[in-house]
This record gives sequence, structure tokens and C-alpha cells, in this order.
Amino acid sequence: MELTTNIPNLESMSECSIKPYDSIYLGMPYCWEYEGNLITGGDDLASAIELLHIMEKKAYVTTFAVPRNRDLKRVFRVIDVAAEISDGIEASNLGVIRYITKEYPDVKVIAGGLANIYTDSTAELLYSIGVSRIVPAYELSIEDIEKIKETGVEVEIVVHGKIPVGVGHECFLKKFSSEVGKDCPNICREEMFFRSEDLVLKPFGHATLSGKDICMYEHIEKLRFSDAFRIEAVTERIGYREKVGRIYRHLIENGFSRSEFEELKSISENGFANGYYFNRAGQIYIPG
Amino acid sequence: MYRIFGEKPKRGNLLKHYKSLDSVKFVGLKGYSRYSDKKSLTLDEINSLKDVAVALNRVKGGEELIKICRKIRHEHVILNELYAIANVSKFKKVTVSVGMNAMNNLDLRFYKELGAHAVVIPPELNYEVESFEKEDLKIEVFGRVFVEMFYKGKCQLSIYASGKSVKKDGVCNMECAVKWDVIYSGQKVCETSFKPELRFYDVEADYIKHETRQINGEGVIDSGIDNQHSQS
Repeated sequence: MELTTNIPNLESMSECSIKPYDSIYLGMPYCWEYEGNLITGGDDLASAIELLHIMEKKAYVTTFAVPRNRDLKRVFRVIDVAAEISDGIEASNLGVIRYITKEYPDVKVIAGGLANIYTDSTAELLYSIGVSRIVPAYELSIEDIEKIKETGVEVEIVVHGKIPVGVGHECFLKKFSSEVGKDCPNICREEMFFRSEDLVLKPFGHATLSGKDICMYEHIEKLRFSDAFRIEAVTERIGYREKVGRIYRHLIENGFSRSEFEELKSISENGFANGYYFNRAGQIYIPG
Repeated sequence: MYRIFGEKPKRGNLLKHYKSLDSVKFVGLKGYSRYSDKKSLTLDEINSLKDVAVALNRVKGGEELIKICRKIRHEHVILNELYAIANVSKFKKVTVSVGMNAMNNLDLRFYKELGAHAVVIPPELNYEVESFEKEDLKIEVFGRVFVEMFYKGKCQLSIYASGKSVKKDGVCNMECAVKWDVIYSGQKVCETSFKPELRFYDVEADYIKHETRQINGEGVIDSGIDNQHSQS
């Protein structure tokens, strides 16, 4: 079982935050302007990949989640570098996915959770054109994901962290910059939430994430059929990636620990949810 | 190429304008189309109509969609699933639903490779429609449309909050339209709402779509009026 997470920039890439993981997705897919974003060009991406390889970790590179025509040049530049020296490229735009499988047939292509892969038939088609791994659409149940796995493609699922509930045309943080008194890129150094009664969302760049952390710690055995577990941490504060990774590493290797589950709870500012794995509203948590 | 009004046109002008256009009317197939089954039609009803195209834009398995498309006697359908797009295109004209979220020319090339006839572009991209390649694949844009909090096809807020899936069930509970507290750095800074906003675009493309199936006579989104969230 591969344990993986995501890191937006070099600043977030401390040795201890990476240690529990087998692989790392590099780059912030929701915002080009995020400070130090590894997919905005420059030498940082190559340095980050080299660093991960020295630590004997796999280095995957993500791409911007919703690229318009004007974004494609930047996307191509990242793909050029990643195809040469990384262990795989993640894309959530179907056109970008097809571009990589055609132009770089030897590269491992990972279709991200925002690629809207809902059915085993879609998975089968993507597998046939060279996609190696799929993060199924977030709103699928365990049964639906198992069907995708049966096509032969590798399946990666989010076991912990905030998942996107929507992707839009604009950054919602910037929209409130006058109320907050900060502008881009400083505005996302602190967290923003939208709250309506018990419903909480976390806007971040073009994405709006679940305010609660999806947590499958108590249900991990039901997900063992998958090839990789992802800890979603790309928008998280310092320390989150390391603590959650360490706890899930222990879970995979040694089994359930009540004290570590309690520690996970203490890290989550808005509580837990199971997402859609049990065919329920995503914000509900069912204890194990 | 068609041209439409940039602002909300007067009723008489709009009717006159619509009549002057060649038009394709999309009807929803019960159980398969978005925006609930209230306004959609059964297979028999659809097959008894003349000159319509059929929306099957709810997420279903590819084989099921191919099977049902074979039973539809009309030549034009709109689909939201990749395998079905590739296979139904062999025997029908397929429009790729806005739910597939085509954003750029790489998307267009992919759908062309799969054999699609046309692709619907999200309304947020209307102002850059000139940047899209127009060879062999038709571009469809929204002329009258509710622009929502997220791209159409990239929103899971309803199923996250209430378990109703736009993609899978075709219905939306419109939590976007409620009142939200905006919390920054632990402090409430303001309130907001993300109500869908009815917009009219002055845009040119091969096809111009006017959303109607989910809108009632007063111009309000049906699913919103059901749960009193919409104040459109």
C-alpha cells in the first residue's frame, strides 16, 4: 500500500513532513499565484524532485486543475520537466490527460479526483489510452470505486483531509480581500471558512474544500483493495502533514490505535466526515 | 453563427429573435437527465416528438447509455460520460455536456478524437470563445444561463451537504444560495451568499443554448423553489 500526500512549495517540504510517505505530489493545483507553487516554473520543481529521490520517495507532479487556453503554455512547461525527471504526472483536465498519454506514452499518468471519473466504463476508456492510476470522483461510494478497480487500473483514494466540493472560475479568498484587508498572495496565509449552521467550507484558490476532514481511520480495512491512500494536505498548515502521515503509517503497519485516533481528532478544526464512501451526504461521520 | 442580446431582451423582441433562429430543442429523458424528472419525458413520449435532441446528462454507466441511445429514434443526444460519448458517436450526433467541463483546446481535440459532434463550453468562458479551435467540432455556448458558484459539472456541494447529487440524481439542493458567515483567521468578517445569477450573454458560436428546462415560468430555478433556497 502506497501512502501519499501533496506539497505545494519547497517551504512546506521538511524532511519530517515527508518521512511517513512513500510518494509526494508536488505543486498546488488550485492556484497559480500561491507563493512558491512548484508548478509555476523555475528551478524549484527540479530541486524538489531531486530531493525526494535522494530520500527514496516517488515524486509525482500535479498540474493546474482547471486550465483554460491561456494556461496551457504553463501547463506544457511543467509537463516537459515532469516527464523527464519525475515518477508520474497528475492531471484533472481530460484534455491534458490525453495530451500526456499521447505525447509522453512512457510517463505514468494519474487522473486526479477532479477529472470526474464516475464509472468503470470511463475508467476503462482512460486505462485503454494510457492512464495508469485513477483517483475516482470524490462522490463515489466504496462499491463504485471497487468496480473501477476491477478494470485493472490502479486506484488511489483519499483517506484523510479536506476534499474539494467545487471548483470555480474565481478565487473566493480574493473576493473578500477588502473585508479582510489583505490581498493575494498574503490572504491565503491564514485560513478562511464559509460557515452556515453546521455546514463549513474552506475556500482556497479556484477550489472550495470540505471544511471537515474526511477521515477513514476507523474504516481503513474497507479500503484495502485500493493501491494508494492519499492524505490531502495541500492547503494545510505546518505540522498537519507530518502528524496525519505518521498516524496513518502506524495504522497501515500496526493497526488501530485509540490514542492516535484521538490525536487525529485534536488536529481537525471542524471535525470529521466520511465523504461519500457510505453513500451518505459527504459531511456526515459514521463512527467505526 | 448566431448573435444574441447582451442584456435581458424585452419579451416581444426575444420571441421574435428566437423565431428567427434555426433551433434544436433538447428534451430530458426521465431518469437520465439533469434538473429532476418533473419536466423530463418518457422514451415513448420523446420518440413521438418531431425534431428534438435528447439530454442524457446524468452520470450513468457507459453500456446503459449506449443501450438507451439505441432506443431513441432522434439523431442527436447530449451525454456526460466518456465511454458513452466515444461509442454513441458511432451512430448518433453527440454533444458533450457542459458537465464534462471542457475548458480548453486540448479538451476539444480529445472529444473530436472520440467522435463528438459538439462541445458545450462553461458560460464563464464565453468571453474567450474566440480562443477555441473551431475545426470539425462545433462549439456550443450559453446565451441565457444561471451562472453558479462553481463550474457546471464541478460542483458537489449539494451531495456534500444534503446527499442529493446533481451528477448522479440530477437534482440540486442549492446550499450555495443560503447565507454564509465568512470567517477569516477565526473572526467573522462578513456575510455572503452565492445565489445562481441569471445572465444573458452576447456571444457568437456554432450553437447558443438557452437554459429553460430547470427554470419555471417566473424565471426561478425549480429545484431552488422547492427548498426555498433560491431567490433568483
